[in-house]
Amino acid sequence: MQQELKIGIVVAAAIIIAGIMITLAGGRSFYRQGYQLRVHFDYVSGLEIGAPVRLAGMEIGEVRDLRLVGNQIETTIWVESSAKIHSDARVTINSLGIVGEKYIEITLGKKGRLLKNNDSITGENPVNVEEVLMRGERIVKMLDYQVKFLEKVLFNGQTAWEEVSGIIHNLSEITKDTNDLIKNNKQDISLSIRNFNKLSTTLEKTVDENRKELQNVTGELKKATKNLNTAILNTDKGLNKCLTEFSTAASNFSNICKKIDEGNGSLGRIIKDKKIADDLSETTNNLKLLSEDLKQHPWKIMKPKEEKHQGKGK
Amino acid sequence: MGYLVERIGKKIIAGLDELGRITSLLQQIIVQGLKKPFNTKHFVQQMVKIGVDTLPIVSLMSIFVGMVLGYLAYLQFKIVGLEMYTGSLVAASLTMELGPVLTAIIVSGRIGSSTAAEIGTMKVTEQIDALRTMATDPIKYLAVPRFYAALIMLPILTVFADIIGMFGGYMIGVWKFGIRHQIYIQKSIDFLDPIDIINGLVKTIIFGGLMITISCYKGFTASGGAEGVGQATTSAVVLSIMTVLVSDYLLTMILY
Repeated sequence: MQQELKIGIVVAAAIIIAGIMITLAGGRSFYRQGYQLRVHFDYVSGLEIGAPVRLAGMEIGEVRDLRLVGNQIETTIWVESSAKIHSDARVTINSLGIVGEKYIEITLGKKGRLLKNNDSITGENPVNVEEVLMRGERIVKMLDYQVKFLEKVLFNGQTAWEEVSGIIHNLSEITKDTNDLIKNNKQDISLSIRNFNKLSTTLEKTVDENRKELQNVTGELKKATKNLNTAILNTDKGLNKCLTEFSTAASNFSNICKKIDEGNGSLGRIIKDKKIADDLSETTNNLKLLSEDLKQHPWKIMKPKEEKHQGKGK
Repeated sequence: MGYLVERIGKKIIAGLDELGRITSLLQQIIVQGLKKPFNTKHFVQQMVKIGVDTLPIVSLMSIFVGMVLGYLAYLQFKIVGLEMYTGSLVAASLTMELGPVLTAIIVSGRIGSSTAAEIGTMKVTEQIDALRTMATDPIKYLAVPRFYAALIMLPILTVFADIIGMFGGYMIGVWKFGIRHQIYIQKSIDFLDPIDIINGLVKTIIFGGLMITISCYKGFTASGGAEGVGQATTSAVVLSIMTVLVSDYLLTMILY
């Protein structure tokens, strides 16, 4: 009987230990209540069954199943019943490090209804690591180019570098000068600022005090503008008429000028014909002489006939 | 040259012959074991011998194996900054491989040798023949209780080896190296799969059956007085341990 008791104790202890070990190893599902959700992805980036599911960074479940449904991958996940997931939650596949273990990350949604057992939700596709690496390579190449260019500009030949250092030196001097200026005129500057302050307060006060009047003035101005507007509109018509008349007059004048230029009409002929011009100038001369003569001998008018003939004969 | 080939050929033929005889003995043990009546008294005696009496040495072995594993795993993981996974490695390697195999090897050494010696002595002193004259089948009387006791007790010893080994790793990881208690336990549990634990226990059942069959065979075929018994004992232990290791490889291939 003693032997049997020993065996009994050993066997019972072993069964209890094995039971505890297997239960613990089996994970939470043995003693925790939960529900399943179906998440649809276009790309799962090597997610595996048994991968952890995290809600806002806390582990709350695991991936139970992965299968192709149409051209999407349906992932069945199990989460604890204490995890309340809203329908607007973002579901993403993350990894611990670049090539680390993949897991599903769920953010806490706020709006939207609570998801229940067997509800379906669409997940966001994970970042393709290879794509990121390729992009990174491109960026690195571009950076390399830029750095080389800068190197060329700055260090190829002493002059460029000297110029740059000169610019920096000047800048520092300017800063120093400005500093000194400000230091020396501190009182003036603060006074100016104070005056400015005062001015603005006074202005504010004035505006406040005369608000009504200002409003009146504005109203009047508005009215005046309106009147002016109508006046301009009315005048516009008269002006238009005037302008057309003026334009006809101008065209007539231009016609006349043309004709004169061409030698038509008496005026034209006068201007164009040289002989006439000579005659005219002679006539003018004669007239001049006559008038002088008349001035000197006014009595000549008294004897018209003789004098006339005489005058003509001259 | 011809002599050498002849010798190799003879060895191979002898080996195949032995394999056939062992398989035949295994089949006889199973057939006899299914027949009534069942020798409960012998069965209990063997259970105590294989299970209860072997437990202290298995515990001692496994606690030290766990400590060594924890120590080495910590040092290696520390290089890459993953020392919190020490518990995971100790737990996984103990349940999947070291617990079952080391338990089977210790039982082979302790029980295999004693079984071969006992049965071998009975064989050379003609007690087996005496049993036959009393119309008692020596296989049913001597081998069957041992066989069942081994089948039941090896998984139980392995459970103790697993948990005690993990405790050894815990002592090193938490008490010596200062990994946080909760993290050590959590990581150990995280990497434990119930299937792995069960597979480990299934392995030990097969190890136990093979080991006890080989030991019984060596005992039944012992001849030539005390020296023959000694030889039988030695070859029983060697062959048992070899069989455990080879079958471990094959079983691992099948089960995982």
